[in-house]
Amino acid sequence: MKTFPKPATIEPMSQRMTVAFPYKRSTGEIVGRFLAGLRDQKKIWGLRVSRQGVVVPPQSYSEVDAKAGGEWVEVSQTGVVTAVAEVTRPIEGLHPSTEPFAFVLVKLDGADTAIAHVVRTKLDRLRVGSRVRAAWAPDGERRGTIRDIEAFEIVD
Amino acid sequence: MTKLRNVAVVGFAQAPIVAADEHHTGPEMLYPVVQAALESAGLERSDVDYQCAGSSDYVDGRAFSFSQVLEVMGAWPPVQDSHVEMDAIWAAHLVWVKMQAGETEVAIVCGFGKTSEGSPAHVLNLQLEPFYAAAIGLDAASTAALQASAYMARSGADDRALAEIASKNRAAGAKNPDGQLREAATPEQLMATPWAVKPLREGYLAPIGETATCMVLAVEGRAEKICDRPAWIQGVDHRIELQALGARDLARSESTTLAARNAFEMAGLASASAADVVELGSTNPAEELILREALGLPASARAQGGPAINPSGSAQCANPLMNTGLLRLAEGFRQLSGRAGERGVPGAKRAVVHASAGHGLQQNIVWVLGTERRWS
Repeated sequence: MKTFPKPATIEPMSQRMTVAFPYKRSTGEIVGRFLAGLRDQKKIWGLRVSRQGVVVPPQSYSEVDAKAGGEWVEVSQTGVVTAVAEVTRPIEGLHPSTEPFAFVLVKLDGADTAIAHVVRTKLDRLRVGSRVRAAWAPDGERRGTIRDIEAFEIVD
Repeated sequence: MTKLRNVAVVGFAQAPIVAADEHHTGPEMLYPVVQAALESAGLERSDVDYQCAGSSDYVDGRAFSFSQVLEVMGAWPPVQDSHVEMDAIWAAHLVWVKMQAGETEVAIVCGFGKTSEGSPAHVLNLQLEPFYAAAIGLDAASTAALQASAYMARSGADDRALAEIASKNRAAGAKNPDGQLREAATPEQLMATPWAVKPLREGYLAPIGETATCMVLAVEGRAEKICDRPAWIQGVDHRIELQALGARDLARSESTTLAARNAFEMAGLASASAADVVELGSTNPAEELILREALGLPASARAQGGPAINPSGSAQCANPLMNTGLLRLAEGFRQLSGRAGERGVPGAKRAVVHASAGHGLQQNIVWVLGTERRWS
């Protein structure tokens, strides 16, 4: 039987492996209704829950006191930026743009929590405190996702 | 305060923290580290009756990732074994709880994760809520920048304030032979680095690296025999924020304040300022400023007096996922047990250790270590 000498050193070897596991997730009663509002009505709905006020985007159960339910409330499509992260070099296959853009948190008028989204234009003027308004993906291209709001735009 | 069981950190070993170890698998990185930790404690594998790993299936790209290191840690003949899908410092907390329950006396905690084999930006996106947060493509540097902007807007801290904190950590990190980023940099040099994700510059963000870590913990009666200078756990607590990024106050860390209050009460420590050393798990200077405020520590890098903050350079100088937090606890141990070399804080008797998990300081753990037993 042929014997092999013990390798003192070997060049680093590697193998490429892609692990992919696609899912089709149910959006559920609460998230689903919110997303249907974006897709079908171009409206932004929140859920008024005890101790937290109007939560936008709404969650299935209150994070504060674990209660279910609440009153659906339509909120404004305009609001104030509470946080800005300006991405200068977008990450391929992850970020929603190949051009510089910004992630933002926006507290819409009538809401008590902020929604995470993006701003693509007039980045030089964007800061915490800026007023922004939702811009919609065109009719027929809204799929019932958070990206049915195409982006937020600075209000002049 | 209820009398608890005295538990101590009695040994620690780590692999060098590097951007990529192309020569070894994750288990091969960990194996010599476990051997070194046991050897440093003068223990045989059979002396250990519990083991717990902190690792991530997403980081490693395989299900039940922890199972690949069972033989490395030494699971046969069958021992009590567990795992947390979190930074290994939470595995250390689980060990502490198990020791309080009287189920183990000597245990090892291991952290591992080869971040270079996958894409941490994509992996950390998967930590987020899927419909609202992950779906817009948020990554950890971006959520950190969102948090930094909220903190800066609320506090008035400017780019220079961040640069000064970052520079202080870089100077400390340069003296830490176990760190990854080991070049000092002035605030001006750091302020000249390009934006990573504005308002965070490349010079402010921790490099994501990889390593392997192993800590040995033991209860009173065993600890003193294993280690000449055990670091006794005098208090610990961990708390979490609201999960929705937009529902919580990103400019503050309420969960750190609460965890610290509980840990300090357990330890009989008046405040973080009363400790000799504070080691924070912040991976950028804005996080550090938020944590300093949450712990009642000075907001300026130039403040004089008080505890030595981040003698290791902090997580800002090395962020090997799954190990970053445990390295903070290790720094507390090294400082109190005379194992910190040149960066040792002379006469240090008490250390406050913090670590974080999740996006934007989502979950925070605070420990108090001391050279003396808390409960007699």
